[in-house]
Amino acid sequence: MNWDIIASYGDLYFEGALTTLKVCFLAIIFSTILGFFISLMRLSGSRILQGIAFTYVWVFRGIPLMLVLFWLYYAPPFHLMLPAFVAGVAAMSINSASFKSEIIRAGLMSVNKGQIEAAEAIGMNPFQMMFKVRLPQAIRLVIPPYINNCVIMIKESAQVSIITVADLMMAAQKAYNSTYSIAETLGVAGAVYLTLTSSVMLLQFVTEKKLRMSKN
Amino acid sequence: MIRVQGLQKSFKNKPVLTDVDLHIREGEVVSIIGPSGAGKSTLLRCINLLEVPSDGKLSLDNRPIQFRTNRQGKLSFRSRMQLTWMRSQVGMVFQHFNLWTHKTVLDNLIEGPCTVKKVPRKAAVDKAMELLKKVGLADKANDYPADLSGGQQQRVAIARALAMEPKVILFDEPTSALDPELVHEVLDIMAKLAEEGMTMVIVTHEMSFARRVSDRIVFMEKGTVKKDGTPDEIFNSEDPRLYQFLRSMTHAAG
Repeated sequence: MNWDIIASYGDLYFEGALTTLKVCFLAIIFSTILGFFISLMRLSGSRILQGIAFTYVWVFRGIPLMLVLFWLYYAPPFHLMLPAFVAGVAAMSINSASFKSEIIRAGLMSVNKGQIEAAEAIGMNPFQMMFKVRLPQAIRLVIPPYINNCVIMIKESAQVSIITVADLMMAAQKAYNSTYSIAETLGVAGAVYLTLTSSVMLLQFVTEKKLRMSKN
Repeated sequence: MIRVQGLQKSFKNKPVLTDVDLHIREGEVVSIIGPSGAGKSTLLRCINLLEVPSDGKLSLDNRPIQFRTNRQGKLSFRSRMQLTWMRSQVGMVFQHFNLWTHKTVLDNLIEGPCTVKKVPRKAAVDKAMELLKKVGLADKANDYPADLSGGQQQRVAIARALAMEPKVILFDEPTSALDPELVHEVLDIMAKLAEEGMTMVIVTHEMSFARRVSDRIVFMEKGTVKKDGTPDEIFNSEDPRLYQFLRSMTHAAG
């Protein structure tokens, strides 16, 4: 083991980790918002909106993330020339929103009907009901599968290196290509990924504890 | 105060209510009794449109309650926005309490006033504490519903309805989900409300309570109102079907 290699590539790793963090953070936010609206469309009364949402989930859940990355970076629609970082975040958001919309839909549907009726009976309008009762209850139900999905996203983000985003995976590859010390270069990258995913899991632990609905 | 005219309701072509007329006057306590499947709860839930009537007219204080349905037979989005005027004046107490499980007792009580009626938080909290004292649960203000017994949850649910200062409260079998020894604590509070002049519509199987507290009793069967009268008229009725029903209820209770 030669740990000097890591010391000399430290900055590269740091920049890479920061990029991975940024890509994941933005993609998680955008995919959550997009997924929420898709789940609302799917649950709406309008057949057109339902159809759009169903098709979206069907297509983007069914094709590989890497394909969407290539499509947005090398053959973007309307000749948009997207920077690699933007294409990476967009592709990951689009891909993950299809999964998240299903997770959120399951959560919204499993909220007890009586909870919603109580909100209706007291005079809340549909928006108040959604934000005061339905969403807060659904959040408690979806935390485990949602965090699961976020962990998978962080790991999948390694694929953005293929479209030249200088993320953690690319830093590890560069270090490996110039040193051929595979154990050290990939080992450190693995440790950093594990740190990122662990912090998300810790977040799950904290939120579940904070959102429990009983003193006992 | 509440007028129901020619109310019809069917679930998938199966009629549940046929041509129901009901008039609730201010300050009146009306109990609705009848065998299971008679449509008592459905009638109650049609009044505040938790169930959408197939036909008929509803009004509250002479103001018609208007609504439209979408293709699935549910209330249209627009109606759900508009009907809040009526729902904020009509309280509801459910069989299974339906307290919001993610909120403390106090937050359950102030949610309606703060969100729907835009009452300042401070005033809502004061009012809520006063109501909790009234139902004997001031010490539970910061507990979650899951930490309370069924009887306590139902008392909180009544306080939650009262916090909106409604013109009328609908009770949908408020004691049916309770352990027998907890029934009286809920009935006591309801009797107190009746005494104070609250307008109440109660679907119940508690015959002696209905007899004692009601100004009027409505006997329903097979989706229609079969008899509507004072407790004495109902309990001394010659109608063989009503007599048989009351006998079976008092036997079950005794």
